Amino acid sequence: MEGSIALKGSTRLITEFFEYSISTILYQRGVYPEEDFSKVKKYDITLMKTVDDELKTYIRKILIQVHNWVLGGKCHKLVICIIDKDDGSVTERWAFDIVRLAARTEADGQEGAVSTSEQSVEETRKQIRALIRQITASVTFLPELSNEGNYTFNVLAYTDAYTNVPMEWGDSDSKEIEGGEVVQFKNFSTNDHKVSAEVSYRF
Amino acid sequence: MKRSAFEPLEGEKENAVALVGGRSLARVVALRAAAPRELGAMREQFESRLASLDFEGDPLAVFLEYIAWIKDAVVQGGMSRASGLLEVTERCLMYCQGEERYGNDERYVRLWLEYAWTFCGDDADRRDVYVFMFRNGIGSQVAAYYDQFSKWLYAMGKTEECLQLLRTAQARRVQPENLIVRRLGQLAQSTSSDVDGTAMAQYFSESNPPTILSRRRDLLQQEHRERQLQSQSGSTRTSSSGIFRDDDDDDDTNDETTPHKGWSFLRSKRQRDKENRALPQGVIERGMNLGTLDTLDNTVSTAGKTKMAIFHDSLGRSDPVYTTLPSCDDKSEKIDCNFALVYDQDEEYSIEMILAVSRGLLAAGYCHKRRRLKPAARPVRMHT
Repeated sequence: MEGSIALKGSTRLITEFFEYSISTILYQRGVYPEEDFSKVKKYDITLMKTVDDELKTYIRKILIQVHNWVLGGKCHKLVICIIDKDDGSVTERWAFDIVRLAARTEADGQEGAVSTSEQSVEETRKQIRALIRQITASVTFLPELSNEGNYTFNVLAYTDAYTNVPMEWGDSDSKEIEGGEVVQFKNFSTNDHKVSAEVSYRF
Repeated sequence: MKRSAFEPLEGEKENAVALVGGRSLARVVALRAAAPRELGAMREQFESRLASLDFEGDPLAVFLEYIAWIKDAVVQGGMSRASGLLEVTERCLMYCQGEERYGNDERYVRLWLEYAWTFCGDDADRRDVYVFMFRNGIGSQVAAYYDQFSKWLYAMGKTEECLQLLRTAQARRVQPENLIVRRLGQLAQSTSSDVDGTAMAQYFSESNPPTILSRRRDLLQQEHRERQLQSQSGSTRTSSSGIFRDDDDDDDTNDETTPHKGWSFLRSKRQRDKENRALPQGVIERGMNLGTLDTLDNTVSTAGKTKMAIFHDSLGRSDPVYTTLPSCDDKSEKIDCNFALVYDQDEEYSIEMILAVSRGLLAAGYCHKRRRLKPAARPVRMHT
């Protein structure tokens, strides 16, 4: 079916979503200064994308690895933690669950393969748009990060126990926020994956 | 850990107001599900708790609980009068003011900062609140106060004052110290000027007196603004007529530009925002051209006082009365003669009779009818 998404396309779409959502979160939470971002049109909305080369390289490096893991069905959760540099405490925890849908046709994983599902690329983009809008609107309940300019972020990838992990990646605890509150956002799905988002915070 | 979905707030996400301290979405969702009568009952409960407050306990905690409840109940923000957020916040700030234990209580200081940030619409108002806090020692040991105030000063282009404020915080060893050190480091990068220690003193003192060299501050500022506008547009601006302002609660006429009386009391936002208040635009600074100085005496009313007469030549003399007569050569003649005196209705008087009447020697009714004289007594050609 024309426009439907195969596994590789689905994975690419998810990775791309992570790239834009990480940039959006870092921008709107003020983790990096405003001048490190520029406006881009994506999913029919205006988003902020980092223009800082160092940050771009760092995010790209992470996402290339995450892409491979998602493609191989090895990664089922990606977490972005905003951390206070002063005491290392986790201020916010953005979690994206990746659920692999039921096994697809044998053409899965082959470039150019098409799926028989009804889920179109346009429908997925629409769902992503709605999700990013909710992420943007989260400032209505999230507290202002008062220690401006003194935050950093960590990316955690939840993988299977036997997954090959590059040297740059290390083991970590889940960095949960004790006594915080969790808000569940909308989700989006492709033919092969379903991605949902939530944020934990303390106010 | 509480879990909630963003979905119930989906329709309100464009209107919901962000809060500095954030809010519990779970509580917001629960309150949105409550009936208006239930919300009214909850509000009354808070009010009754406030009515029975005493200083033995922690009145600030009760107020803060009430404020948090309003924020959750009215996600559109507390700017609407119906929410009551502004009133409750001001009640809390005023109730706890002067209580030594709250002066550097982070909860109380943060409420002040939130008040300045949320409810003070213009920079002058916000500045007055920060200065009020400074002068009353509110938050003098809380880093958040210095942080927010210095950020505002920096945004206003007051880099020097900002630097001095942070140095004051450093000297007072406010906690957390590293926040102040970091802000100083950031500022040091943006400024290379040596601070002489007078800028901040001047900044705070200038906001204090309502008069400068016996002139009212708002008048000076208004003149300065008008001069700026004139120089920009090249045309003379005329000031519009003033609108009556009922100042029944403020008999201090010199206090119009400050929201306080002697910096010990902050007037409520609604009183400060009354119509037709002359808002100061910017600060009067060194080198600013304020024009000629009028003394305060010039601004007060002179009603009831008799003015001293000034001598001039025409004093006591009446101006000549001219009469214009048509001439045969189509050129009119202007005659220096008051014919109304000569021809009293149907009567005609000679000059001698007029003099006699004016001296009381001849009764007006004495004159009998005479033939009306045509020419004037002394025709004088003035100009054609």
